[in-house]
Amino acid sequence: MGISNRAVSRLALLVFAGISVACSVAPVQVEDANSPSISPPQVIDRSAPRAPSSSKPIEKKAGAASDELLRQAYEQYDQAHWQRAVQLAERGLRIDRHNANWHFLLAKCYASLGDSARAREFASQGLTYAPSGNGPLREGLQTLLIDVKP
Amino acid sequence: MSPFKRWLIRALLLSFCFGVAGIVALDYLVREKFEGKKWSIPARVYARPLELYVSKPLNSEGFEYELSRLAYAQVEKLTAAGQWLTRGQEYQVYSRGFDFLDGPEAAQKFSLKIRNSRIDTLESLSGNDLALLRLEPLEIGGIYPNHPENRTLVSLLEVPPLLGETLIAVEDRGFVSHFGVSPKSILRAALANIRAGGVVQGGSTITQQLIKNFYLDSRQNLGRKILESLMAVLLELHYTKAQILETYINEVYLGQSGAQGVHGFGLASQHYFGRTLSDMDSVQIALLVGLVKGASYYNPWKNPARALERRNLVLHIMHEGQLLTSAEYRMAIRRPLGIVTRVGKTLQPYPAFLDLVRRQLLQDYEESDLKTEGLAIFTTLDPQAQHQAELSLSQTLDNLESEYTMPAGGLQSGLAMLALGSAEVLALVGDRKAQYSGFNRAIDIRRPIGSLVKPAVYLAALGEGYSLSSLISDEPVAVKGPDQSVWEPRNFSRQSHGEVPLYQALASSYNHATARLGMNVGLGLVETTLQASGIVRPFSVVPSLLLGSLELSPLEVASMYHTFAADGFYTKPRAIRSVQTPRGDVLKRYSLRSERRFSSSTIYQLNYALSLVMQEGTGKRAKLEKEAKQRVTAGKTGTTNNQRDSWFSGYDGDQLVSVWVGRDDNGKTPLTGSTGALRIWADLMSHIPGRDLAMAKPANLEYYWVDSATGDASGENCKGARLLPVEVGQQSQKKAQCEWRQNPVIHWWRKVWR
Repeated sequence: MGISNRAVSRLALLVFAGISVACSVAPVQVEDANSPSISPPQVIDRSAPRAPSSSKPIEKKAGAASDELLRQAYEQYDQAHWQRAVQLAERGLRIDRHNANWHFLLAKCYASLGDSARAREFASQGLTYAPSGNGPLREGLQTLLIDVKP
Repeated sequence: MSPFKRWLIRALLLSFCFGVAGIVALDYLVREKFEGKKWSIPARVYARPLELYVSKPLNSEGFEYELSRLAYAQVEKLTAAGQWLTRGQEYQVYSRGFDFLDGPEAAQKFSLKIRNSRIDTLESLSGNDLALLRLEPLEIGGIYPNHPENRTLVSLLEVPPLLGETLIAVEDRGFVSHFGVSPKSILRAALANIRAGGVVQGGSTITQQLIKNFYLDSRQNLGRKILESLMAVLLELHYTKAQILETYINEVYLGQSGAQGVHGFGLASQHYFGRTLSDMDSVQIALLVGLVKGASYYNPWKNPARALERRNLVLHIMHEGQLLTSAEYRMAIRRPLGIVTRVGKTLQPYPAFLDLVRRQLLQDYEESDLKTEGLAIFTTLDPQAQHQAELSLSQTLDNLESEYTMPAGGLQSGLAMLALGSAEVLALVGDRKAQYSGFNRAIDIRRPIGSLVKPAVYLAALGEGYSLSSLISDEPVAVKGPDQSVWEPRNFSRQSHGEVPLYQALASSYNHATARLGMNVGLGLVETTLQASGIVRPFSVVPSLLLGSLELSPLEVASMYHTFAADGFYTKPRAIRSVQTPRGDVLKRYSLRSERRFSSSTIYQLNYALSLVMQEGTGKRAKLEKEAKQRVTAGKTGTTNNQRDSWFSGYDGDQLVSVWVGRDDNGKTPLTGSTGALRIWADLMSHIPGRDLAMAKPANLEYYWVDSATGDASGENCKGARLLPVEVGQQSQKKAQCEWRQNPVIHWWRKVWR
């Protein structure tokens, strides 16, 4: 049984770091800390403040309920039953208020209903919650904001 | 013809003419009322339906409370809708169906497991996973007319046939064949009464009873009996037996709930069994029919033995009339009354909330329509949250009075609870005796909010280029007012703290620093920030505004803090979701509307600072228990001069609660925000399931290590360093002197292995 690669690399790093620290007298540079949105800040020697988190494991689990409602809501939307789709979307938001799919749908419904002010409000709110990785959703929301005139 | 005979004929003719005219008039009266609007039907008010889905925050106590308020029966085996049972960790429920605005929800059998105050699994009993379902909404009261009658109208189609058959068998066997009066019944009753030497039996038909209840009053004499009989005949001439029976079923008096009479079988089934009339089985029908004879005398809560005897007599008649088989009869008479518990059985259990509903409705409807048209009002009330809020508030006030040796009953409180995002009002308590429908402190008090105003000052500053690490002096400050008076606020501790970063000044609620910061950014900007956060009431823009001289109610405070908690989007608090006609048509929907009022980055920083209030500031004393112990929350305490008002407003990821504690006579108390109102908040939050406060971090914010003494750039291993969200580009480029917390090698080594 040999020493694992990970242990070897840590040992090498240790030696390198030891040399670096010994040669340096400058204070530690500002570190690019992990955002508490992923892991809360850890502060040594005192209880770490826990920041408002934006990791959403719970919402992921609520996905089945959201997915089912979204399916029902789009069914209504596709049949031009805008008000019904709005009701379902509001129900969805009560379950998962950070899910920008609901804002997108609400914005589309209100645009169809001719309520451009509200359509823009929901599109703008959706952009706050749409994950940066979800290009199509963000694009859809932005397009709505451009297309729906105030 | 002799003059006498002539006069006699004339008199007879005249009498005949009068008689005919009288009957025509009577006929008109009978028809006018029967064909017109028969009753004033109060608006019915419903709570929100309980949504069930995997991961939904829910605890066993709350779920069982909801089932009990919905009058679900705990059984050994599910046989009918409206039942539940437990098997270890698992609940099995047979839900009732309900026609919701967005579609019907069928009655179904399902199971769910709750773990760590979350729904862990949700399945139909046929074994399929269920994505989500809803229980029917709880009826929580009504908006009643001044006259003391209440009823739920039912059509004959909704009435179980057995009810009609039993009514006829018990009250009027000849109903189908007679013409309004039954000479045979009158004779039989007369003989029985003569034999008994008093009135022991009535000979009235169902039609006559209806005439008496619907058109006449309860006085009895021969003249009225004749009138009643005449009207009964007229009624039968114009209307079918079905119409008469349907009206009778909706009219008859069947009990009392507070000041309101329970009329008709539609409401009686809800009143006694918590279920709709169509759900009634033969045994329940027997009790309801038995009550026709005397609802007070046979009141099943006050006189259960008497009620049981009466019910069994009706069952006997049903058996004799072949409405029940012998086997069914034998089983039926062994069953208990099975009525719902009388505890909390009042028509208006949530007076403060219903008061708000009524006020919001009156913006769109005439009061008379609310009291007479039978509208269905679907609201946002969460019965579990409301119940717990009432408990937490009353018990905590009792405890505080005992701990601080205050006279019992001297403290009062008002509380408002909103759902985060939708701003739906989940609970409202207006008095420590929550059932008391007097002064509604959740809406009607106007008290200075003290330090609850501070987040608006800091928000204004963050929008003006300050960051949480910006330093502000906490040395004493004096401001000259327009009338040359000098305002000199003092810190609660009477000490100053030198130069402090903004996050610390807010978390520790320093008055000097806040007043100085507010004057730096300008009172006008603080005013517009407060207005943008949702304050619509006019207030004086004077220096003392910076420390909370403006006076608000708990609901107004909740509205203001909701804008902070909901990422800077303002949503007007709503207590109503929709209003429907008795037929289920939508009259009005109160839909969601949100408007951005603050930028994402300033709001994110504010929420970060308000979460620090809970972890190391004035909210640190919050003793959250159970799973709430680990929950990320944010909030702010507020205390006014001489500790006359104790405030707290705080939130997690699901709900926001604002609480005021004080005295009605505005007297001094020994309480601060953190020793008074915070205690109620913490107790409530500990018993209500919820999730961490979750904020979406804007792209233009990053976390940086900042030296808290200078606001300059620092590092993780430097003493006094804090990790703070700062707008990119706003971070200090100047590096603070670093005094290591620990040997950097050891620190680095630990970090590698962490």
